[in-house]
Amino acid sequence: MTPRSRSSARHPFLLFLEDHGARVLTPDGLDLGLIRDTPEGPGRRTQWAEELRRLLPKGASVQACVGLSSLSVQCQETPPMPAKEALDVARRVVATENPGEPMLVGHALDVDAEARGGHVHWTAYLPASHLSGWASALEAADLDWVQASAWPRALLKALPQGADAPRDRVVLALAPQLGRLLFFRGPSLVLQRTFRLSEGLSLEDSLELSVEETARTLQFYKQKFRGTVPGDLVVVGAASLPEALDRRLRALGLATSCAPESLDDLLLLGLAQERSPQGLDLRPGHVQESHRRRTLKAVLVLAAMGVLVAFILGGGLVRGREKALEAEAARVEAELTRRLASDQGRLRVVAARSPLLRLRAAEQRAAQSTERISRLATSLFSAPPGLELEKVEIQQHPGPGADLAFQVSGTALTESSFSVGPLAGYVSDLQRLSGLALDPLQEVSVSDRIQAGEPGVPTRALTRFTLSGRLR
Amino acid sequence: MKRLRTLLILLLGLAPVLFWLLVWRPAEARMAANRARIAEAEARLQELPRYTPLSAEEMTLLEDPAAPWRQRIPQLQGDRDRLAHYQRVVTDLDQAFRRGGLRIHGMRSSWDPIHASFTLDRALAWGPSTGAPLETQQAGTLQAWVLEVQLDGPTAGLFEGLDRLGAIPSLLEPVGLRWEATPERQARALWLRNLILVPPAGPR
Repeated sequence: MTPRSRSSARHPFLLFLEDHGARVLTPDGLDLGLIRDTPEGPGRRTQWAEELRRLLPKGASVQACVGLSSLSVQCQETPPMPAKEALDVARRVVATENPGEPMLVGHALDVDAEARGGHVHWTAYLPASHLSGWASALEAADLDWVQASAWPRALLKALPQGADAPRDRVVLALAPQLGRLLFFRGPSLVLQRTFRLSEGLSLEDSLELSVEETARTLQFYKQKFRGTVPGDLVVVGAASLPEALDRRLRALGLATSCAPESLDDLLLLGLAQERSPQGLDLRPGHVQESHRRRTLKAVLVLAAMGVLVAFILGGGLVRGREKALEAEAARVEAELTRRLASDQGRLRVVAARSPLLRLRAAEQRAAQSTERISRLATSLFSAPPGLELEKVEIQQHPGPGADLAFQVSGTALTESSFSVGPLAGYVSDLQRLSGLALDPLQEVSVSDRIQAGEPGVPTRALTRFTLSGRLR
Repeated sequence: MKRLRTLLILLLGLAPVLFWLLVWRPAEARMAANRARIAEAEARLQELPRYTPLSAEEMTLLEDPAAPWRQRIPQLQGDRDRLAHYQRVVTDLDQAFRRGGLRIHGMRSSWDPIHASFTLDRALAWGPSTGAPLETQQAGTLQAWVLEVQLDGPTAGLFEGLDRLGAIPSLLEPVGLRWEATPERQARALWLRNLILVPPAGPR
C-alpha cells in the first residue's frame, strides 16, 4: 500500500516542525524526507511548497507537530469552562506575556481529579511568523492542513495514563543533536528544557551530557517546587543506559526506564490521540477558518446528497408501497369480477342440489316427527291405575315449528270419595314432559255416587275429563 | 460561513417539508383511493355467498332422472301419475306393515276424503318448507297429501307402525294419530303425510 492511498483526515501525513527544518512522515510513521529550514527570503515558501509537493500527494491531509524551540506551553489548574471561554483565557494569558506581537495560540482542557478545579488548561503559543511560512507553503502545495499539535502534549498523550501511572515523571527525549527534558505532573507540563547535542557526538557522550543536564534541571526543579522530586525517569530514544549513568540517576532518586518505542513511534501514538476537536491546535486562525469552511461545505454537499438520496429512496419506498396497494386493489377487483361472474354458476349449482337438499330436509323432518309423536304418545298412554282412557288424538299443527296438538279424554275411578286423585297424578306426570304445555282442564265432571256392583264396595267415585295441550 | 450554515439549515429543514409536499401527500392520496377500492371490493366479496362447485360424481347423481332418491319425492304430471303413486305408496306401506305383523283395517286419504264420523283434517296436508332457496328454479311445486292408516290389534301397533315407516321407499312423515276405546267405537289410526312434486299450478 502506498503512502498516497493511506492518507485521509483520520490518518493524515505528519509534519514534524523543528528548528532545523521539517520531517515528513507517512501516517504509519515512514520517514519520507526532511525539508531543511532555509534563511527567510522570497523563495523560501516556494521551495518548501515544491518540496511538499514532491513528497506528498495533492490534497493530502497533514497534521503538524510543532517542536520549535519558540513554542511555549503553560498549564494552569482551572475549573471547568466552555471552549470559547477557555480560548479567551488562553489568548489573554498570551497577550499579557507577549504584548504587541502576533501570536498563534492553541489550548486544550484536560480533566485532572487532583488539580484544583478538576481540570488542567493547556495553553501553547508561538510567534505567528514562525508558522506563517509553513501555512503558506502547505496552502501552495494544495495540502489539507488538519491540525498543528504541540510536541510536548503529543509526547504526554503517548505516555501510559491511568491510575497506576506515576503522577510526577520526567521524560528525557533524545533526538539527533537535540535533547529535551520534560517534567510532567499528571496531565500538566511543569517544566521543559531543551539542550543541544553537538553534531558527531557519540550516543555514550550524548547520554553523559543528558544525565548532567538532568541532574542540573532536577536541582532547579527541587528549588522551584520545594524539594519535590519526580520518582520516574523515562528515557526515549535510547535502547538502554550504561550502568554507570543508571547508577548516577538512581543516586538522584530517579527510577530509570527506557521506553521500548522510538520517539517517532511515541509521537505518532500521541498525535493520533490529539487528533480530535478537543485537541490542541496551533494553526493560524485563517487556516482554521478556511478548514472549517471546507468542512462545512463538505457537510453541506454531503447533506444535499443525503437529502437527494433520501428523496430517491423515500420516493422509491412510497412508490413501491403505492404500487403494491394498486396491485392489491386490482387483484381484489379481479376476484370480485370473477366471483360475480361465477355467481350465476352458483344459482345453477344451488338449483341442481335443491331437490336432494329438499329430500334430506324432509327425511330429517320425518325422523324428528316420528320421534316426537312416539314420545308424546308414550306419555299420553301411560295412564295410572284407576284412570281409563277413551280417546287420544295427536295432530301436527301447521307451521315451521311442527308443534303437536293433542286431546285426551277418559274417566278416573277411585276407591275413596276423592275421585280426581288419579287424574291429578296423570296430569302431573304429563307436565314433566319437556316442551309440553297443557290447556286448562275442560269438561271435567265428578259424580261420587256411582253404583259399583262389586261386593264390598257400595259406591265408587267417577270423574270424566277431557285434556288438551301442545308439545312444542 | 454564516451563509453556508444558513444553506445547511434550510436544506435540512426544508427537505422534509418538500418531501411531504411533493412525494408523500400525493402518494398518500393515491394510496387512500386504492385502500378505498380494496375495502369496497372486499365488502362486496363478503356479501357474495360462497359455495362448493359440483363434483363430477355429484353432478352424475343429481342429473340422473332415474336415481332412487328421486322416487322419495316423485314428480307427478297428472291423475294417472297420481293414481300410480297412490297405488305404490299403499302397496309399499301394506307390505312393510304386514312384514312387521301389523294388520291394516282400512285406509283413506286427503285426496279422496270421506266425510263421516271422523273427517281427515285438510290442514294436515299443509306442506312443509322445501328448504330450497327462493331464487332457484324448482322442477315443480311441492305438495303434500295425507294418508290415514287404520290398524287392527292392540295399541302397541301404533308404535310398531311408526317404527316401520323407515322401511317404506316412499317418504312418509307421521303427522298424527287417533286412538279410541269406547264401547261404541274402537279405532287406531296413523296419519302419514307424503310429499310430491306437481307441475306449477297443477291440480291438488
